[in-house]
Amino acid sequence: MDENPGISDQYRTASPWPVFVALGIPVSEVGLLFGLFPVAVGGLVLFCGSAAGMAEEAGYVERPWGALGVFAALCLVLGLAVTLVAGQPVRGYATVAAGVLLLAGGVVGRLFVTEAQPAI
Amino acid sequence: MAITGQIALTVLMGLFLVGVAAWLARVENWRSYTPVGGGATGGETAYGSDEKPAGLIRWLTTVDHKDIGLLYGAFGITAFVVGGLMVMVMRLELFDPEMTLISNTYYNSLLTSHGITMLFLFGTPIIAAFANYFVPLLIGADDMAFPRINAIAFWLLPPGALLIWAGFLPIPGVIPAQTGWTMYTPLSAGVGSGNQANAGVDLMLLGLHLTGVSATMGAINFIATIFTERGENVSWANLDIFSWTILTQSGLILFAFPLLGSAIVMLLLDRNFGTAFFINGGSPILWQHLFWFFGHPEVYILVLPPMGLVSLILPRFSGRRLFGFKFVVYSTLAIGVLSFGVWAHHMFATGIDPRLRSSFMAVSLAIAIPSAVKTFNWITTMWNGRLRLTTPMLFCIGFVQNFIIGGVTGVFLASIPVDLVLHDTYYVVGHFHYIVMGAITFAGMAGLYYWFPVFAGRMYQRRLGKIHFWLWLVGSNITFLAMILLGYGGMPRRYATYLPQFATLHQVATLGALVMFVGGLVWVYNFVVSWLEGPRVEDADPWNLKQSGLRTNEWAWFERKRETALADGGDEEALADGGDPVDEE
Amino acid sequence: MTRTRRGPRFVLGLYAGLVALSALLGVLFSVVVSGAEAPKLLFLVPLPPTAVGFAVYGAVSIGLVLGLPLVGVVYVSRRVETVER
Repeated sequence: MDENPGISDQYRTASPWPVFVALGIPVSEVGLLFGLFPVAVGGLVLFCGSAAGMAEEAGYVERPWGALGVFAALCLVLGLAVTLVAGQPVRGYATVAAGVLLLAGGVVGRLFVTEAQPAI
Repeated sequence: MAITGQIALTVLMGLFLVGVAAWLARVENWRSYTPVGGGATGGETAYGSDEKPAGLIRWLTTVDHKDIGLLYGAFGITAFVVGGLMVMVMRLELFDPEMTLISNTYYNSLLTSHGITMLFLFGTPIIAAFANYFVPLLIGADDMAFPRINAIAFWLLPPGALLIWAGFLPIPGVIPAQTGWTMYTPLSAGVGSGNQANAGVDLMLLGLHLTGVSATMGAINFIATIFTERGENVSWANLDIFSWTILTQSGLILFAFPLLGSAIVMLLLDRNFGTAFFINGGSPILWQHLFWFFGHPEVYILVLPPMGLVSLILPRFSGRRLFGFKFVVYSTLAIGVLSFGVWAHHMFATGIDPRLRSSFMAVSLAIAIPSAVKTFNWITTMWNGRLRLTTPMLFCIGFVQNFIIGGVTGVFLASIPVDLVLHDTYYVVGHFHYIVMGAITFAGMAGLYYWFPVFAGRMYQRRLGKIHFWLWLVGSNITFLAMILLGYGGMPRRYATYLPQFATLHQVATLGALVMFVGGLVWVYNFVVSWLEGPRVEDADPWNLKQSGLRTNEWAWFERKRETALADGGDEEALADGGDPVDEE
Repeated sequence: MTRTRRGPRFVLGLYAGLVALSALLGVLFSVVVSGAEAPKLLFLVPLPPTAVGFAVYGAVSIGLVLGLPLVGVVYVSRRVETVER
């Protein structure tokens, strides 16, 4: 920055993911706390999906599908624990459902999405 | 009916997710593959222009620390206006002793929301605004250490604010929380015959939790940035005072806010899942311990960076360097450490063990020392200086003055026998408003005016800035002095109605609030109009800091940025839009 | 904007203002609180529980609390001019 004035303006400074990661947290919190099944599932999918997308964009993972699988596993374990241990079936099943959706997304992505070709 | 609702909700949620996915696909697509030249979509243009999309998309997707700083600032100022309007309604209600303008319960709602809005939605974010914009510039970093986490931390705030204010929105069956900002149990646990079992309280707690998560993420980011991203010529020895205070503040946040988050989760569990932390045989006092273990460091989380701002700005207009720089840094660190050992001074009247009480009294008195050291250094800096009374300097001096009054009144409260008399009276309200409004907000204003040329590229109207300052100085002292006197007279806090004997002082306090309100109008008008059509800054050193050798890194950056903009043949806005005429292919 | 003010005068003005405010607060205290006990200046000198008494009490107490550090400021400014950044 010192040698090259204003270079910080030339870095890639846009990412579509953070706003959805941030939105996913309150949506899933509200859904889980009030036991609103679809809201909880949607919020968790939004949060985990965006976090996976961001991990890919930041270069922590090559493709997002594996990350989705990890999030799916976490959701499944957590959901089962909430259902069986804490005795909160609605909230537990919602978390499980989110895990299933994420897992499906990861599998579909891995199997069917090919590397997109640049337009030019 | 319930089934229909579920289906509707599912459909809505599904549509929302599909919409998000479609939008993401579109953004990702043009972000990566749109050929250069389209300045409006601003992909990876060849040179000289931003890698930022234009318009609203830029603000939704930005991870640039300066943009995020501006977002924080816009959010903080919006929250400040909301919280200010809330308190204006309250002060008007208090103009006469009876319940006239609003109901008592609505007053309680406003009271709760005013406190939470000002502390969590204005105070913390406005500090984050300065820190985001200026810490990387001051320490010579390209950006924050984790730019995306930075953006996440900001975007948690708007949903948090919506949840906190949810009770005021027209949602059927949801009423605003009336727990006070301290959310003392058992009231906040929703037990008893009151109405605080309402979902509005849960939503408020969730919102508060989100702002806590946001602050914690921001703090981790600032610590990492200041430790790892400093420029080559910025060492610990010459790190500027503002970054020092932000570093200390971030440390405090890291230890305090997760505790608030945990306590809120415990409270939510008590309210919704029948646990027994604070009620059902749990201890209501436990809540106070947990809350104030967070709550008192929170006071220093809010005051340390403004102290840093004053330590940075006040010497610039005194024409000399900050006196005793090292001692100001040491006192910052000392306050940071001691702030975790004073929480029970909020609980002297709860009947806790007297031996505990006296140890907390001792530490509470001790923490006055580093604060006094700072004041001493500011005064010494001014003593040998040649003062230029610009608007930011006036606000710094206003900070020092109000901080002395707030500090002296606070020392008395630290003393157990005095506190037992004044506890829960308007004296306490007057004391902490001297600090949070008279000091913290004044320093925030000093920062906003001082750096206005940098972030707006234009100059504000100086005369209006001074009018704003004087209206606020006079108004705040009228209101908060009246509150102190009300406290001496025995007026308890938090009440919407009062005995007729307090009417005069309450009317005086309302008058002062109206003076501040007019000052606020002047400020908003000045900022909006100057931002849109104020005179462009022609000089990269609008405060003549070079002359006295006091220029800091952010002004050097500002100068380079202006030169780059001029070399590209356009002003900064053309640059930001990527509208460079030669940038085809 | 170029006009400057000398530090000592300004700081002394600030000090005088704060002491005056304390005196004012003393007067108002005597109005607001009825039946207050007679104050003892520095725990030694008894003052009457009147407006003047409380004004003197407030002004002198705060004048000392703020004045002693101010003497320190003056002393330090003359003796220790190791001004850092």
